[in-house]
Amino acid sequence: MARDMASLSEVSEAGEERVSSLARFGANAFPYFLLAPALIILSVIFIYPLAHGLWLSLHDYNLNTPWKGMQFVGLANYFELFQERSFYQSLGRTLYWVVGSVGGELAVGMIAALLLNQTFVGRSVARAIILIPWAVPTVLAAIVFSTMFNTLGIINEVLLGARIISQPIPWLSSTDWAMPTLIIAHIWKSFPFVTIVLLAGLQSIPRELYEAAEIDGAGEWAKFWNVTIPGLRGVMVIAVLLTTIFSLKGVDFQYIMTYGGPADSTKVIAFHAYRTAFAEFDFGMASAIAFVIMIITSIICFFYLQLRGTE
Amino acid sequence: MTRAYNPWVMLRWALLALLIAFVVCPFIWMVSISFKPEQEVFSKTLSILPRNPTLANYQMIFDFVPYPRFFMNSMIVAIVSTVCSLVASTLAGYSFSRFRYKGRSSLAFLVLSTQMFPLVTGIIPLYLVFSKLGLINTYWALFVAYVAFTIPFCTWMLKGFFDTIPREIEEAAVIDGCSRLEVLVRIVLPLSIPALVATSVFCFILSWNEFLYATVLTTSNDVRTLPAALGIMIGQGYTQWGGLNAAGVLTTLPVIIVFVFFQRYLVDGLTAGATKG
Repeated sequence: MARDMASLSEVSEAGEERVSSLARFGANAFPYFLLAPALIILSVIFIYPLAHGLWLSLHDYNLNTPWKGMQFVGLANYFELFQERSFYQSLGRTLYWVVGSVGGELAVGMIAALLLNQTFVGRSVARAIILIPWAVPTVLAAIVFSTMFNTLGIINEVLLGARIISQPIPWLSSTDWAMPTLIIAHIWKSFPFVTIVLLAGLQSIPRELYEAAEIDGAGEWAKFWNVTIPGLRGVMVIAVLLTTIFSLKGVDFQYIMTYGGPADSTKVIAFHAYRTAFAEFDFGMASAIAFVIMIITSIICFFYLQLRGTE
Repeated sequence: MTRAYNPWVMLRWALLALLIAFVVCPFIWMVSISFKPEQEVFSKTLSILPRNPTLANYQMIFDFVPYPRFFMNSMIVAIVSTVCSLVASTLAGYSFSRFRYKGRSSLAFLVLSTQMFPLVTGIIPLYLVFSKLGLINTYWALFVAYVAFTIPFCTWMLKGFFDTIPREIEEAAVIDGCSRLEVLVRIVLPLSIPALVATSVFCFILSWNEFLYATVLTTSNDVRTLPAALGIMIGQGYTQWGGLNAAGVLTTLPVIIVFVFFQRYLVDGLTAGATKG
């Protein structure tokens, strides 16, 4: 592909003198030449690994047993995977993680977007503050939330002090509470992204629609349901799609806050793939899991495109 | 004055205060913990202000961890990735914005769709290939990865901005004898400074913060970036929370400074990108 583009650009250099106006630029290879650096890098990091990963997933390849080398096993990794209970358990946890994260981010992100869409004194300062979590490293969010949700941490102290709970909750070391804690940290880190997307949508709703609704005697609530929500449908679909995919592929919180524990209760499928590769060194099986993630992602994107096609 | 008693207005202010508290409290707590001696971190009576403020945690970060090395690594990786990504994305965005050619829309779709790619699917084969090529533990592995991560979004953002620049200016320059690249460099880029700033900030933040690839592709302190170094400290069972929070403060400060300075550009750019995508 790269070579084709290089030869095309040589052709364009030779034909340079004949081109005299911008209108004729499109006729030759110059635009491909401009695309080349981006396409080459994207191929190295995204397209090539996809092919190599698929190839690996058809092999028995474990770095713990390097003397066995790579053995072609066909779909055996996939058959083994689909028979493992742990695989379905990690899929179930992934669903919990994704639905919890997306729901929370959408709710908080929507409230923030609606508030920031009003005109008030100090709005730009409020906007800057609310968007900060998006800019900070995930590692930071993980450390801070691990500190706050420590069994001896401030969250338990506050809840005990307010007599909401009578015993400290072992947030990150309990199989029931670890996932919700991770989801809260994730919502904190990621809701600003939803806010940015929804804010853009809110700003594109024509003022006249609100004025018309007011003339019809609509209150705040009626305006919200009949003007704002329908007007936001397009960007809302984008926000749901992107947050779903980002949550699906995320491993950072699991890695730092719980390492998938306690008792695998936060081992979502992406982290399952990571651990199979880099802790168990079973690269063949890890590639099969990673490919299942790829397929799930593709299905979600496919439905999104269908949905957008019908609108 | 009667406005102040409107229940909707009151509700709005209350919600806004709650939201800002939700965002800000973790930062306040992090800074507070980072100045507390270890025995005060989880003491029974928790207070925001440390009773015996200490710099011991920061001291520890410099004494036991090669913090300046990690900082330099992060800076090098983030700056080089940003510059490279900006060049590649500018060229690609300009191509998509200005030219009509065969395969344009499929290529544009391809570039954008890589944004959806599950990173964990890529890291397994890339780890094996980079090991074979001897690129593990070099800046190169991270440069290539981060440039690729940021290209799709930056290309899209810049394309959107180039679309708003009238073509007539460029046509005039071509008639005056400018070459095609000269048009881009001399005419289009100076008009695109706000978009270029927004894209650079986006790239810098993303490269500075990235965790998974940095963790897998670096194994020695010589090239490890701050997030990877922090993640590995925790992974090895380091539970000095004061020290971890101090490291968190130092890791986050640069991006917060960049973000606060440039957030106006960035938010406008992101907003434009989001509506068009």
